[in-house]
Amino acid sequence: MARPIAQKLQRVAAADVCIIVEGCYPYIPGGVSAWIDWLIKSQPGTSFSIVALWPRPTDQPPRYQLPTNVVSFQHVYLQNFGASPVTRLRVPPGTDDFAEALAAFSMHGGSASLAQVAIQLQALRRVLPASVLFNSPVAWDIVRRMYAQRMPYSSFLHFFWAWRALLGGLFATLEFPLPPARVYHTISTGYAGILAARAALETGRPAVLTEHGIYTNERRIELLMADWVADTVDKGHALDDPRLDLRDMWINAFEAYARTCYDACTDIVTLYDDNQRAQRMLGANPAKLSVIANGIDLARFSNVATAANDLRPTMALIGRVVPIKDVKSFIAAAHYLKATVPNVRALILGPTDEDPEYFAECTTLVHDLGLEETVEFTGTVNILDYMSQIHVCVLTSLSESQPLVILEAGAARIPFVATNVGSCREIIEGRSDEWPPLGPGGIITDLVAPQQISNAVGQLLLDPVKRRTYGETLQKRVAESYTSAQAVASYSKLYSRLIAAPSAAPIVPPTEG
Amino acid sequence: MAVAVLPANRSASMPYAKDNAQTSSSVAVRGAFSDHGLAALAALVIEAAMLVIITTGRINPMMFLGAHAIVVILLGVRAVTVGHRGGNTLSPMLTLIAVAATGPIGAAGTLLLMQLASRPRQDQALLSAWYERIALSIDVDDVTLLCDAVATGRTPDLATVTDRSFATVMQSGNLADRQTALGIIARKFHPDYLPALLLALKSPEPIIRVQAAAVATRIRPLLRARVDKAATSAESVTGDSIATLAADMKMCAASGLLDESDRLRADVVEKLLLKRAAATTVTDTAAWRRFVPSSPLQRDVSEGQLLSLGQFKALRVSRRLTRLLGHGLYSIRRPETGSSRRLL
Repeated sequence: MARPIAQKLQRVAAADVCIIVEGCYPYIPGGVSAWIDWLIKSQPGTSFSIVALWPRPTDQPPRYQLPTNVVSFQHVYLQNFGASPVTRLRVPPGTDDFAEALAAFSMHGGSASLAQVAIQLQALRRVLPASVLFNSPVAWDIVRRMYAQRMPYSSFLHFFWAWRALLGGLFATLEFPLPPARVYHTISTGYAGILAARAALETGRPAVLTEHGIYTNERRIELLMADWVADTVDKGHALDDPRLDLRDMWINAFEAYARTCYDACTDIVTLYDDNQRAQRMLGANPAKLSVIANGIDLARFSNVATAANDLRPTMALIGRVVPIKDVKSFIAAAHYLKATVPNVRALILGPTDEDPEYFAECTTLVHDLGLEETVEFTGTVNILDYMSQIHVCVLTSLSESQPLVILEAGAARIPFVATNVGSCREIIEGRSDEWPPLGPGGIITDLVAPQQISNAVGQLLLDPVKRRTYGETLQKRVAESYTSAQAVASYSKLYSRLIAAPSAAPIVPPTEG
Repeated sequence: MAVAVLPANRSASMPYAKDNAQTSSSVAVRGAFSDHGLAALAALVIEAAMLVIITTGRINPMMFLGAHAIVVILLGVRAVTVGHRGGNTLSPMLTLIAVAATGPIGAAGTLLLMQLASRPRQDQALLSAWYERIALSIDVDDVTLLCDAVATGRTPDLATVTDRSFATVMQSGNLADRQTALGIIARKFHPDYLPALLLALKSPEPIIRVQAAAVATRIRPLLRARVDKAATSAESVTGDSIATLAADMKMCAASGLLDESDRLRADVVEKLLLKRAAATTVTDTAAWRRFVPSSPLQRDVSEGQLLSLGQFKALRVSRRLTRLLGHGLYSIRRPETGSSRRLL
């Protein structure tokens, strides 16, 4: 675990690249945080500053040591905005224009709209600070007008508090003093995307976005299922009721933020092709889109010995024992597989302490199905110690982006059976523009389909020739398209181009700190 | 990736609901000696004193007028100051005009007006109750809630009610409709939605698959709870509830969303219920119809599920029931008598 971030880094120094990240680095391990850590370390000649967006000040210790080429680290607290309420306040001129700009931005987004909001806010700031404005009769007036215009059917009480939650985060990003940098690199849309867009407008420097998952879609899914969002308008089961309610308000806001970020960024990068469809649907300009896939150190895995045919047939799930990995489908697949491969071994290589309740359910399921001699939970291990025993790797996840485990197994010539999520199909079967087409490196199945998974694994376990062919194909594909060196070179090239780019004329005057 | 940039729950997103309710019951009542009252009282005392003095002849009328002008100017300055601070200028202006026009009589008049205005109004209690209601700090009965919903236009709009099943939406709806439908399935789950969810899990659209997977994760415990409940009541349920419960178990087992052990339990419970039903006279054929898919689409989905799970016997039973009910008649053979009885 990293030491607390040194106080000296709180002084804001100029950097080549300012990384803007929301809700993960450096406090949440794995996934995107690990990627950011890798990115910074892979560009030792580039200086970085980091702006971490977080709900409130936290006691959580950082899980990553800041690399030596990080020159500053700052927080933006999204749910902590606003001074003490002010009841007696003269309404300053320009409030109407600000309210109009804010309403338009919250609904539609776009960098021009954000610029208007920022310019109007700066004009108001000359009369009173934004933190005071946010908790004053001025804000009350704005809320009432936005409610009457947009959501007259919903509960005003709920609208008011939702407005405060949403706009508090927006105001926090608009007020934050931008660290100086040549390039602003955001790792998601949302509030981080707004900050990057604002940086581009105020400094004239380029902003770039790398999306792992599609933030807007993740929020949409959360919001469509959330019980805490009150349904104040009873729409029954109607799918296209035009009355806006709170759920629509939240979703529209995040979509507006995404459009703003896509509009302001010069380059929009993602890890795989399928994500670009979602970005285009949200209004991203196709000319800005590119793919820079994750990469692994091929040499670390390519010398692993292939599992011998006479070893006990072994399939393995490499991952955390948590619901999103759907380990239960893996266990059920092992149960079905025993019919055709009676002595199959099913390894689950990964930490079991992240969700103890779910782990308990998995062990109960193993017991109920009589699989104690078949399924083995190893806990956190070095996967290199096990790879020479594994004939087929399996991923039963319900959601993934670009799982490194497939690349690592592929580098070790282990064929893969995976659910049709994220970039799994692209890695296992190849991109549509792969030339020459290499063929499959495994089999793709539906989600929550243990019988299909069992059939697919059975095919590979019982056919050594197919297994070897698929494994070699997957290794070849990983070597051609998914090495760490390629990813490093791609980002190095991107940063060089953007750092050297001339500054555009700022559209919004800089915010005085 | 992002963590908790959304409020985690409703109480966090509405932190002041209780506080608002408490302050609403103590709506300020203006006292006789508020700021405005004191100013009017001071003006009354000064003007009245000068009037008394002028009647004694100690000052001449010009001096009285001069003093009166000073009082009026001071009241005017006060009104402007209140306005600059964003306060309500009605009372200061009234006092100013009244004193300027009629001297002490005007001051007395505005003081009297303030006294009358400060009396608690009859409907203050109603206002307090209203504040408490909208702040959600009290329970409101269902009839009142319904009246509120009708009055504010928040009841379902019958013009927008869709005639498409969710399964049809998953097959041919636009992306927004599919995502909205999945949201409804998650929040208002019913086993009848399962065919739609299963279609969504296999959707060629990655966004839909991801959302369907999230919904499946959420409803799995609900299905398990249904199986648990059915298992405890399988021996005691009677009459046509047997068929309903058996159909429910069949749907849960075929969903593919139960853990394997729970699926086997659902199977066992269904078989037990069928066995009990075979020994019972069925009077409500509608209940029995729940055993079979209600549409070709649902049939294809549920038969596909049974096939993929290798549930060939269940598949044969399902098809046989479909054929029998399609003929509009069926009979149940009583093993102990060897006779059969046509029911329809």
